[in-house]
Parts: sequence; C-alpha cells; structure tokens
Amino acid sequence: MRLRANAVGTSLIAIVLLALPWLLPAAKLNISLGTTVLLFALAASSVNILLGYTGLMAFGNAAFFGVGAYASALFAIHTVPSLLPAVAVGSIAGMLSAMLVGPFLIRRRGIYFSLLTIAFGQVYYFVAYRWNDMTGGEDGLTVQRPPLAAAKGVDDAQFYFFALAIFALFMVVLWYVLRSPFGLTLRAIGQNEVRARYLGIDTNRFVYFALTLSGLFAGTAGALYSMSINFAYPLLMDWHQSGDFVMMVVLGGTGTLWGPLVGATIYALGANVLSSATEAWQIAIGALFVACVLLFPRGLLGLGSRSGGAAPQSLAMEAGAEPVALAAQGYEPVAQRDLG
Amino acid sequence: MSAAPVILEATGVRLAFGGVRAVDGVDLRVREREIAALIGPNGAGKTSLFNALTGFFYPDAGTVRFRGEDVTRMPNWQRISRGIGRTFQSPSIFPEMSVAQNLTIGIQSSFRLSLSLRPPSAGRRRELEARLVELLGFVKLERLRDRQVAELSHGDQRLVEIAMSLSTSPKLIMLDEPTAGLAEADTSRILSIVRDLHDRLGLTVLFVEHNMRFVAALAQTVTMMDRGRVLLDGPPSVVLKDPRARDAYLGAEESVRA
Ligand SMILES: Nc1ncnc2c1ncn2[C@@H]1O[C@H](COP(=O)(O)OP(=O)(O)OP(=O)(O)O)[C@@H](O)[C@H]1O
Ligand SMILES: [Mg+2]
Repeated sequence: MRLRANAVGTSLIAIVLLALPWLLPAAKLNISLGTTVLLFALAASSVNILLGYTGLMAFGNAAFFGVGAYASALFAIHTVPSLLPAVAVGSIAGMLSAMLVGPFLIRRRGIYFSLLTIAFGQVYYFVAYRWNDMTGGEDGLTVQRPPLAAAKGVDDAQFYFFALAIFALFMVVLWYVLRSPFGLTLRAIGQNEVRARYLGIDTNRFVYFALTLSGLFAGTAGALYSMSINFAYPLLMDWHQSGDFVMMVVLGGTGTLWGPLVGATIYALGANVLSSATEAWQIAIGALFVACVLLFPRGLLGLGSRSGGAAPQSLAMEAGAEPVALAAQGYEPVAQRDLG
Repeated sequence: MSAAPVILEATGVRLAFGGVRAVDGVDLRVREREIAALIGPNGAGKTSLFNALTGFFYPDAGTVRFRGEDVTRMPNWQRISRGIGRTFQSPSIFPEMSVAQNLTIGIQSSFRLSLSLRPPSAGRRRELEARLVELLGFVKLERLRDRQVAELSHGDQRLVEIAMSLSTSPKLIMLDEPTAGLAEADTSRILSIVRDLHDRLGLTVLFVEHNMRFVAALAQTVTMMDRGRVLLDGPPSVVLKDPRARDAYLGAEESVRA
C-alpha cells in the first residue's frame, strides 16, 4: 500500500520535473527558477540527512554548499573549463569541508552541535569573505558556465536537464542508502541514540559518515548553483542561507525523501513569485514555517505518513525515554563530564 | 557457595552528581549464570550503579571488570560486543520503527553489518531473518512484528526492549525495574521470560526490582543498596528477612513523606 503510494508520488514528481521547462514559460516564469528549486532541494536534502534522519540540528550546511560553489567556479576558471569535472570537484570539496569539521562536531549533541555548526559555517564564510586573491572577497567570483562536452555552451534549459539528472541520481543514492543497514542505523540514532549505543553502535562514527554524506550533497548543490548563476559569493555560505535550507526541510517534511523538494519549491515560489507581488513575502513564508512547526512538525509531506523517517530528537522526546531527554541538555554520548 | 567465576566485578565504585553521592563506594560481584537482584529504596543509587557499570557515565572512582577485563573507561557501545546487554527504567526503544526494525538494528550490529551501504545478500538476509524470528519467539511477540513500537502497550514495549537487549547476544543482561508500571498479568509474563533468560539461554541476569515477590521468585543472590552504599548482600532468604532491609525502606518512605 505505502509502497504503491510512494511509487505514484515519485512518478508524479518525475513527470512534473520533466515537464517543467514547458510549464514554467507557460506561467511566465523563467526556467532558471526550476533549476534553483532543484539545487535548493538538493542542499535541503543534505540538511535532511542530518536533521531528518540522524536527528542532528545542523545549521551550517550553507558552508559546504558555498565551498562547493567556489570550488567548481575556481576549477572552471583556472583549469579545465568543462562542466562535469567542475561539478565533481565542487562535490568533493563540499564533502571534504564537512569531513574537516566533522571531528569537532561528532561528540556534540543538541544545542551544542547546532552552535558549533553555525560557528564553523561562519568560519568558512569569513574565509571566503577575506581571502580576496582567491575568492574575490565581497565581490565574489564571476564564472562563465563551461561547456558539457565539445566547445558548445550550455543554455539555461539544457542546464536544467543537467541539474535534473544529477538531482535524480542523488535522490536514488539517498533512497538506496536509507534502505541499507547504514541508513536504518542512522534513523535509529535519530530516534534514540542511547539505545543505539547500547546495541553496540559507535554512534559518533555514524554521525561522522552522515556529515560526510551531507557535505557531498551540499557541495554538489553548491557546485551546480554557481554554474547555474555564473557566480559564487560569500553570502552563499552565510548562516542565513543555512537557516533557509533548514526551513525548506521543515516546511516540506523532515525525514521524508521528497520533503526537501516540496519545501524548496514553496520557498523558491515565495521568493520569486510572491516577492514581486508583495514585499512581505518573507512574512508569509515565516508564518507558514511557524504553522508547520506548531501544527505539523513533520512538515507537509509528514502529514500522511507516520513512519519512514525520524523526527528530530526533540520531537521524538515525546516517547519519553529518559535517556533521550538528556539529549536536549547537550547530552554527550558517553557522559557529560568524562568525555575522553 | 557456587564456585562459578565472577563475570562482573565492581570495586569501590563512586558516582556523584554535584553534591549528591548517588553511588558511594560500591563493591559488587556477579557470578556467571547467576540471577542477581539489586534492591533498595527510591534514590538508593541502583540506576546510577547500572549507569556506572555500563558506561552511561564513567565512575568518579573505582573499577569495573567484566569477564576479567577492566572496562571502567571503555565506551558504552564497546561493552556491548564484550557481552553486556541492558534495559532502562523507562523502556528505551526506537519509537517510530516497527518491532522487527527495532530488533534488526541490534542484529545488524552484532553481525557487523551496520556500516554496510548495500542491502544484505540473500544469504545474510536469511540469517538476519532467522535471528529475528528467534528473538520474537523468545518474547512471544511474533504477532506484533510489523507494529510500530510507539503504539504498543507498556508491557509489550518492555518485552521489545528485552528482546533488543538480547539481539546483540550478551552474556550478561542487566534489567532496570523490568516490571515497573506493569499490571499483574504482564509481570508474570516478564517473570517467566527472565527465568528463560537464565534457564534456556544460560545468561547471567542482574536486575533491579521493587517487587519483592518477583525478587523472591527469581533471585539467587540479593544486594541491597541504601544511600549509595551496599547495606546487605546474600541469599534472598536472608536479605529479604533482615530487619535492616525493612528499616531502610521505611526510612526512605518517611523521608519522602516528611
Ligand atoms: N543524571 C543525574 N543527574 C543528577 N542526579 C542524578 C542523576 N541520576 C541520578 N541522580 C540522583 O542520584 C540519586 C540516586 O538516583 P538513582 O536513580 O540511581 O536511584 P534509584 O535507586 O535507581 O531509584 P529508583 O528506585 O527511584 O529508580 C538520586 O538522588 C538522584 O536524584
Ligand atoms: Mg532507578
């Protein structure tokens, strides 16, 4: 039953995404809006891996996104001007940027984890902002979108399909990973980390791998984004941007495969369509966000399905296991006082 | 006295929270294949001792040895593969998952599959399934296999948690108040299962309980704690009748009323 519902939903999404280059112009919208939705959805998925499945409040993913954006731009400018390698370099750079800060994060939980992700995110931001020679500082980097194969350029519609192919690939990867023993274990950690540890699971290690995977997703999204808008700039890494990605996940549904896409769509439509109608579009999105958190903490897609993913640990606390309550106090997996 | 080797040994264990000395120099020995009970009034430090023994918190002083190995500062997750399983005073489960998934997490862990990114091979899947069926059968929860654990009764959740603690094939299982909050019928289900843990699976069992009939029915040795210390220990026939045991319970009750 659920399987069939999921298959129908996924097919519908696929059809809409494939038809978008024709649907958007019909609605007098630019195809680049569709590209933005896909890339925000991919970045929001990187947050979802941490927030939705592993139960970690990650507020710094824009840093990995930005590193991906700069890395692909720099690669395209300074070495081979070719699209696929540039994106690959951005993906890997995003992943490495997460692996670099991972060791500092894996022992932290709850609010301490969140604060550290913000802090590290801002470190990346300031590096991009200050390192003028490399990043162009405040002005950012302008990059010409490199060709895919031969010397032929990639126009916006072609780029949309390129982004869609990569987005689809990553969604398949995520779906596959989530069904694996590793994915089930991540969800277990998200629901009750203490129990996971008492089943012999070295949860810090899993948090590290979740961060790595998250960095890969965010880096790829960022790499494609700078190729899409021909520009990389420090604000991409700012914590506001991280907050927007979190908001998309919560809007769409934490711990659901398509929640980030739904959230990114609402967000991008708000930013592009509503913003031309009213200056107050952010108020509307903000109100929707508040409504989501209060009324359906699992987001719009979480309305129908109860199982599938983990609510963030603060929500799972309702289940009342005493050890989980410790998580809210910045619980350290071994012991607050004796962390080795 | 039984000559079975000591499986778990605590020496001079202390654990304090701020000014509260929850565990204040406890020595404890549990022998292999024994059913040992830990009793004492509310706040005596029983759960804190469990926490110190299993590495939920590291003790401030003292040592913990398991099967001869010093595990005092071993991360809690590592002790599981050494052969310790544990339940919590309020069931610690994966609330949004099915009973089968709850058990599968631990089975995968003991099969060293948890890090695998690929679905298990057909052969592996059969092994996982066989173990799952075995565990479900042990706690007699086959019919609830696909139910979400959050929806189950408290008693069934306790059984799921016991099965989860078994999923990693421990040698020693530690149960923190397995019958707390349960009705009579559920209590007798748990009683026969704890007996099976010992008789059928050959495990060593250390449990905390307030239900003295349960203790008397199962325990071979009883350790009584009061205010962080061991007050009495010995066979149940002796400890449960000792006037000091009654006094400690009454004293704790009075201080609660006062
Ligand atoms: N994590 C903690 N933080 C602070 N104080 C704690 C903590 N855990 C236990 N304590 C304190 O340590 C003392 C012993 O508590 P503990 O839970 O170990 O008792 P217990 O014997 O298990 O009691 P009960 O029968 O009520 O479960 C109590 O005073 C309790 O308040
Ligand atoms: Mg207790």
